[in-house]
Amino acid sequence: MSGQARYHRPYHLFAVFTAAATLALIGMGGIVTSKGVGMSVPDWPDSYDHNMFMLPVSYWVGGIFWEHFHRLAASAVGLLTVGLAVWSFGRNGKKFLVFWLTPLATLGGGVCLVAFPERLADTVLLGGLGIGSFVLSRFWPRGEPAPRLVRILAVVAVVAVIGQGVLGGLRVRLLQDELGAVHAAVAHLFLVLICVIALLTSRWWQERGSAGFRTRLPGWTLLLAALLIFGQLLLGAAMRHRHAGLPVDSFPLVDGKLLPAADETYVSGINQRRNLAADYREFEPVTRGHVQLYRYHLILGSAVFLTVLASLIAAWLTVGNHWLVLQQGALVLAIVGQGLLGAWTVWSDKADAVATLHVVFGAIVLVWASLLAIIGLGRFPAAGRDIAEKLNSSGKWEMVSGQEAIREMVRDTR
Amino acid sequence: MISGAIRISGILLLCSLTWNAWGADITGTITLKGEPPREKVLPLDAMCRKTRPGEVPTTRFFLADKSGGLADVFVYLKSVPGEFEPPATPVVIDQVGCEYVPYVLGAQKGQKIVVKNSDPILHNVHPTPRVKGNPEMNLAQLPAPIGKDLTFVFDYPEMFLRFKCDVHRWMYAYVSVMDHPFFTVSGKDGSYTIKNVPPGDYEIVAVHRKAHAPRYVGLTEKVTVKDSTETVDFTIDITKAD
Repeated sequence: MSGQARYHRPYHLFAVFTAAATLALIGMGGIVTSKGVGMSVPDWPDSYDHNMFMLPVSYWVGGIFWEHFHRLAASAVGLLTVGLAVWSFGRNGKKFLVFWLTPLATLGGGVCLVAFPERLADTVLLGGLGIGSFVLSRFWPRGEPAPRLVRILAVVAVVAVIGQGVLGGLRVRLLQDELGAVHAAVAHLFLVLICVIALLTSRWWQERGSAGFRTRLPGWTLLLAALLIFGQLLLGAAMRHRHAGLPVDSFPLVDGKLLPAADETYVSGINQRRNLAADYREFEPVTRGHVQLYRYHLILGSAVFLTVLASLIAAWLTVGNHWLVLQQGALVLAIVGQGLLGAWTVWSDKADAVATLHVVFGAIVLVWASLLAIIGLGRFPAAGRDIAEKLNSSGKWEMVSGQEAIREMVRDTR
Repeated sequence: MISGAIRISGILLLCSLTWNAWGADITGTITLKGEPPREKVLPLDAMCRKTRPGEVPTTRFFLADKSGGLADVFVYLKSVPGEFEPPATPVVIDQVGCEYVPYVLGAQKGQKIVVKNSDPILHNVHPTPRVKGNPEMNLAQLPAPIGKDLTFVFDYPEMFLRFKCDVHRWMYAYVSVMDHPFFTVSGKDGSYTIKNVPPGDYEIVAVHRKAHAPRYVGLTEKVTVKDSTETVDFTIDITKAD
């Protein structure tokens, strides 16, 4: 993040990597829920009375493998997020490592050694973190800080990832299925946040944003689409975390109708069919509420499709043939693909892999729509309001204040 | 004083013996009508398969013999008056070859339910009650001898309270918690016996966990118990919804 060019390739790639890791983590969480093994490690933050990072491999059996792997991957994403935040402060990040992380981790290790001598693994890990932090500070890059907005978002991401970890732990400790659904929802929001950081630190955003580029994409319609997709994910999470399987056994028609009736007759019938299906997963019985969730999921899915289609038509009429409009077209196709994955989930009787794929693709679609909405709304000129760059009349980049960039952008628009 | 105490004890003993003498058994057979679904093979992992060489364990939903006798049907008397102390003897569930044994059982409210682990594999034991007041718990159980028996107690009646192992997602057991001791589970041939039922008019209910899910209303018959064994047979028709 040198002063001359705001684009910093390594930092951007690191943000992209963190986003990819987060998506993989959502996939792992999806597998854990699809397989119904989220409670296979009954304690938290320990795992079977071991420090989580020291659980012997012999314990990684059955559902424990997936749940424990999910926890380890979550810790890795947490570390990546902390790295993203510290790095966003450029050379100032070194101060954090030397004056905060190193002493705190070392002190924590010391306190642990004195107060809990039986938990040697905790001491070793905290001590290792302190030493690692100190060593890292020796090689810390001397670059400029990222734009203010990126720094803020990165710090918010750290708070979010910690909160998300605690939420996952509380779901295990408090035995609350509902917390599992919240955990899933926050995971998707966190992914969007990391992807926004990746977008804001991309070369494309830096150059277009700095030059006062306006895409004229229908930002508000795209934002509505993103919100509807998030609503879809909430409904999906609510259905999945009831651990009741699917309330339908056919698609697109259920008993000859597009939408199953949420009444006692239907519920009784579907439960009867399921009871005679000899499914070793032994799902909870279907309820009327469960059927209602499914109905809303179908209706909202249709609304998402229509909204994205409307935004595509609006963009085509306004902007014409542009690669961002093609992106919107691809998003429409992705929504159709997500719908087909939903159908496949029903046809496969909620096979673990298919249901998980539906979750992961849902996350991708959410990110896609969110980023297009942000690009369309153009609320982040110059990727920060403190300093900006623009192309001068001779075609070279020059530094201007953010306010000046905005003024010029408004002038250009007129 | 002492002779008085002896006399009272004698009377109490006599009453107790008389009570038992008054009690009679209710017996019968549960028969399945209709074609049961084919049981599915359990997706045992490699470690669990090692504990059951040569076996192909399946689900245990409709265990019927050749004559239609249906096992694992929970049979109980409805609304038995009086208060009944829980027995001191616990009911026991064991984990053998990555399955709970037995699969369906009954316990009295307040009675200890002990879960053993005879497998050389760790499990978690996770009862998931639906009735408010019965606590949900999730406990790890390492293989013996490190792992100790786990004890659970539920204070409110609940039909088919589910025990599950999240490590092995096919592992379930169902405990029906009753507020009296007059219940049983049908055997492999579908026969059952409820012992020492006091004389009176009762409703006897037979409930199958799959055939009568999720409301578990089951089949009800009236029975009058006097001084001899009463026979009540049930036929569970799985072609009809509960």
